[in-house]
Amino acid sequence: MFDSVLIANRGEIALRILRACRALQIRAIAVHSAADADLRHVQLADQALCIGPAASAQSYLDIGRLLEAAELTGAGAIHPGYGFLSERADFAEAVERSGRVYIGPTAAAIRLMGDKVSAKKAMLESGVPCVPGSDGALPSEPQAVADIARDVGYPLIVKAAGGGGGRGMRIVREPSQLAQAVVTTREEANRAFGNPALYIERFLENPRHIEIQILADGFGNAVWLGERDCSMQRRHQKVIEESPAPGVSREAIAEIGQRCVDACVHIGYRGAGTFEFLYEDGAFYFIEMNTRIQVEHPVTELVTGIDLVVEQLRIARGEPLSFGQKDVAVTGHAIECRINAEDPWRFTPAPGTVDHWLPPGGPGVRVESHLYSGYRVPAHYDSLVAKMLTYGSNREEAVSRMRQALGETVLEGIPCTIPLHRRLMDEPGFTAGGYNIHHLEHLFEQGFGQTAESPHER
Amino acid sequence: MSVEELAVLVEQLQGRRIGRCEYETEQGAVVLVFASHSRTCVVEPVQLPVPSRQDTLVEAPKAGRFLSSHPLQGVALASVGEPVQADAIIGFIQVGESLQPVKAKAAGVMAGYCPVDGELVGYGAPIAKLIPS
Repeated sequence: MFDSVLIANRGEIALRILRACRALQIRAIAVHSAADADLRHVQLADQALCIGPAASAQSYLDIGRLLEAAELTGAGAIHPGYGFLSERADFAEAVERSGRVYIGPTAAAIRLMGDKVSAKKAMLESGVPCVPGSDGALPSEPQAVADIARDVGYPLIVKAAGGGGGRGMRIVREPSQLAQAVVTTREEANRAFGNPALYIERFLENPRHIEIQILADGFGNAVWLGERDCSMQRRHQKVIEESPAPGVSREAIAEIGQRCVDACVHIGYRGAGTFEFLYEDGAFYFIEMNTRIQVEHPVTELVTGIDLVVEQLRIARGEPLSFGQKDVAVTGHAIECRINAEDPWRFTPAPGTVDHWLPPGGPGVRVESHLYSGYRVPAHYDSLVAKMLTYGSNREEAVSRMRQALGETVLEGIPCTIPLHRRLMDEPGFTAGGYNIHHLEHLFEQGFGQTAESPHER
Repeated sequence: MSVEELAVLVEQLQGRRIGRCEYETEQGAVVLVFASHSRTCVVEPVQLPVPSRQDTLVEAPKAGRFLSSHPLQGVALASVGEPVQADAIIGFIQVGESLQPVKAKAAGVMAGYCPVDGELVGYGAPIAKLIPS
């Protein structure tokens, strides 16, 4: 049991965690970099401490400074949020070793699921369907790799075992391209992730990205909380998420959800987590598990009515889940648009000062953001500045409310992705639903956005 | 800065679609405001800030509890009104058992400590004020 939480993160998720702490009367401690002294959660926290300069490596990614801050402030637990150290087993281990509670899974579970090869093995053992591919890490002999590739079939994708977020992977369409792709990806993997292990998988041409949210309490109880369709992506980064996934039967979701729950029990998982799948021709293929809260978690909160961050805190306090699978119902439809401080058509980061911020409101509208008029978006961190969510009794109502919400939002002073979302809300592929992960890239290839140079869309 | 000098400047800038230009020399500063539809330029004098001998702040090199003396010695490392050399240790930041020295970046005269002993300070927090010597 703990009565204070150190929030080892920044921006909107730090504010979200602070609000969850308030809901349980837990003291919230904000640690921040020198660039973030004016963040909203820093102002609202029960205690705030600057731990280093703006550079993440000397602040939000510095385990030593975070643990020192925990000691200095008497924090009983640490919440990692997402990004930064949220999927670092060594951080979870260091927190537990310091006598504090890590709000998340055990270091062993993070390590297991963080390595794509061991994660895939664990999922296959639990009956979770995976993309056909190599059985474990690729051998070093080129001929042995070529034999495995022939069995998997082309096109295939060479991936770094320690990679993620679209980095450390290469598509191979012909056997003649394989050897060079393996050499290049191995070099890249070693350099970027410190782990040269690779694996190969069949490359699915037109899949959707559908993920299952789970909660597990570490006492053998686990539930799945519906799915999220995150197929609207640009450069492997999610742009829009929604739940339920249009056109996928509830029976299929229930079956894959139960397999995820079984896997959680099998690996002794604790906390919130997400199983990510590619979905093609009615079949799910596991790609990875995120052992943390995700950016898009409010989508699930809107359709289930369950506060995932509060549940994270309760689980970390050692409480068993207070509800079972039969208590979880997905009703209505929710959509999230990620608002980034970026050029909406070129996706280049655009830090600067927010002259005017007026978020939308009304029935079925939720905004998660740390913005305020006068706030300066620093160049040092991720460009996500707001998450705009709408809920409706069905998809049409949720989309209609999102159109309205985006239309009434005022964000002046910095370029942002609101103009892109405004266009997407009327794009036929989006309004129909069920598009694949290449949809947005294809739209851009066809000139989507090139005529969006009117003053109100800049 | 003479009238002739300004006239040459205006001549060179006029017609180049410049609306406003600040011009500063050791003698002073002016703003040249060009009218958009005529060959008129208004020259406005600018009051430059008067340079002052600002106090120098010594900042905390990390987060921790401030100590003005070493725990084993108990004597303040700097006193108000006394000179402090550049790189001199004027205090410590304590985290658990570890102590990190707080050093003056430049020489000066100690004007006073900002936190009290034992106070929790963040990275970059002001620790002491020095009057440049």
